[in-house]
Amino acid sequence: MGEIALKNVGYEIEGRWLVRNVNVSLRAGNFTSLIGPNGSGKTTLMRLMTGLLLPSEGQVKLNDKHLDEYTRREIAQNITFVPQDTHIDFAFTVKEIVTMGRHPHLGKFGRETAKDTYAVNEALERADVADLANRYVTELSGGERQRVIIARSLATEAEVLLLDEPTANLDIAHAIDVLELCRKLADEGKTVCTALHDINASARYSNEVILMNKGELISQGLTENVLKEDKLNEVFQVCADQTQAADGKPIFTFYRAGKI
Amino acid sequence: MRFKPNTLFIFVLLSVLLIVAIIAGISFGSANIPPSIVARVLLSKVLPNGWINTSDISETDFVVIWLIRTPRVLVAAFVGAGLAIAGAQMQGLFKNPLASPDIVGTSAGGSFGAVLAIALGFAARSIFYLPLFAFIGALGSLFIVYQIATQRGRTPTATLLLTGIALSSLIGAATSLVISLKFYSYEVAVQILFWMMGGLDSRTWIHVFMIAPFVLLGSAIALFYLRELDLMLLGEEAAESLGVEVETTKRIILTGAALITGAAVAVSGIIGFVGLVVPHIVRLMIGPSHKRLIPASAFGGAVFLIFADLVARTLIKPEEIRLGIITASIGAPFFLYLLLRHKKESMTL
Repeated sequence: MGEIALKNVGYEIEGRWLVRNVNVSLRAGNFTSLIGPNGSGKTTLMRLMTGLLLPSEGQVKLNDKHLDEYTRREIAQNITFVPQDTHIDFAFTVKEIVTMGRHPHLGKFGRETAKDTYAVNEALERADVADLANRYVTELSGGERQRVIIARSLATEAEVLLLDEPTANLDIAHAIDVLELCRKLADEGKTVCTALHDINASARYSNEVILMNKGELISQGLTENVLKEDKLNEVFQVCADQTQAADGKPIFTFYRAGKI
Repeated sequence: MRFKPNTLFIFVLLSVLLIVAIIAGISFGSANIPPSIVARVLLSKVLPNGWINTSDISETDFVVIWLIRTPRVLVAAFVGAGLAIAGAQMQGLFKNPLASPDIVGTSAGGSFGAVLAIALGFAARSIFYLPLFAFIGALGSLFIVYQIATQRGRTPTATLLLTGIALSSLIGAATSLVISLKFYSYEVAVQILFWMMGGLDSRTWIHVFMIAPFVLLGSAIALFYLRELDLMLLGEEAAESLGVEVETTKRIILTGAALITGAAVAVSGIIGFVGLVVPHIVRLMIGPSHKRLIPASAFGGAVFLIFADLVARTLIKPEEIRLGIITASIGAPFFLYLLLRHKKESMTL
């Protein structure tokens, strides 16, 4: 369960290929980080994985079945997506927002059942926003709102979680919380894929990395095999210097190429 | 301030307000009739024969109440409720609290249809022609706007909005052309101008039956898509990833709102501000969730328009002020008041 596979996937808009020839797969139990410079196709790839975009070529499969054989609702029951832009203009309460995560499970006029309430409360707890439950989402800080949107995703109880730069607006403590939550969800058997800019976070928390550049897949594999100085130098146009933290995890320090 | 009384309380309150509005709307006019008599006449029509004794009520009162004022008040209720529902839906769909039901060109198209019907002489032949032309104009312009704004099966709301504005001004120009060509005929020009200011004068049961089915159908569609509209407020991408068929939903909601707006324009002319202000006020009071917003807006719109029409009829009686003037002059200041107060409290929409 919770397996996504992309085969020769490409997405083209007005003659320009945003991604092309991408072959990757996401599996249950993995926390995969998706890294690459700006414009390398990370967000496009995530949208293709959720069916928000349809591939111009190639195929996207969820649990060995083509994504277009699923209804929107079925996809939403299996895959949840936290977009980069979490801005909301309307004064819903946090609880109302998180409850919306139950939409794919509710019938047309169905009321929320005990199971839905449980999922919502559980999601509020895990994303550390239970104390905000009755606040208006419009009054929250960017970081608080980000965690609320993560809670909404958790409330779907989907097997696959895709997060597009979830730590971008967070302070260091909450960033760590979110990354540890991703790690934990993967350890519990979910499929987690997160676009990240922070390579050290990727090195520390994810066990698998997809490295993209200019719309092409550079490599997918175990974190320690992909996050190599030479690859990073080439893709990001930097000079990476790898050292070790006290717990043995790698730490990279980056210098701008040519300026060292 | 947004207060959170329970939903039942809100709707009991709104129902009482609506009943008061209906009775007041029928009681007051060029000649006032005691509310008790109004209530008895209405009940005698609703309840089985013989339950209410009406033998002491004069024939004139009966005619004024049942054949003149009741249909007018009901048309006001349906138009007000309909425009408020359509407005709430548009504000949700466009994620913009300043959207109104005519934003996709329906009012402009409706006006054009009506003006054509008057100018070409159809309106004088049968009372059905003007509403029919207006209705076709309203739906026709939505169709054109939608077709232009749709590319590769997607209809971005920003494009839809801009297309609506562009087409509205184009149709507005065509309407002006027709009016200017017909201006030599005083009768026709006055009729057109009066129609465009909106009004419910001499509306009959026929008009009630013309608008009721469309408002009821549109409301049913609205009720079917309450949760989807909530999700659309989070952004289309978020809605889609939570299982909403965004494009289908958009199409259905637009059609439902256009049916309502088209029928409203057809029976009452252009009545501004109801569709913008009522849902906005209701949202400030009870929050953005459409489960409550749509039904509460319907009640609010009905009450608002019944009272506005009452003011239009009685302020300088026996003369009538055009209804569109009243709704705008009550609606706009109240809207500004809310906006400013709301700024002070630094509360968001």
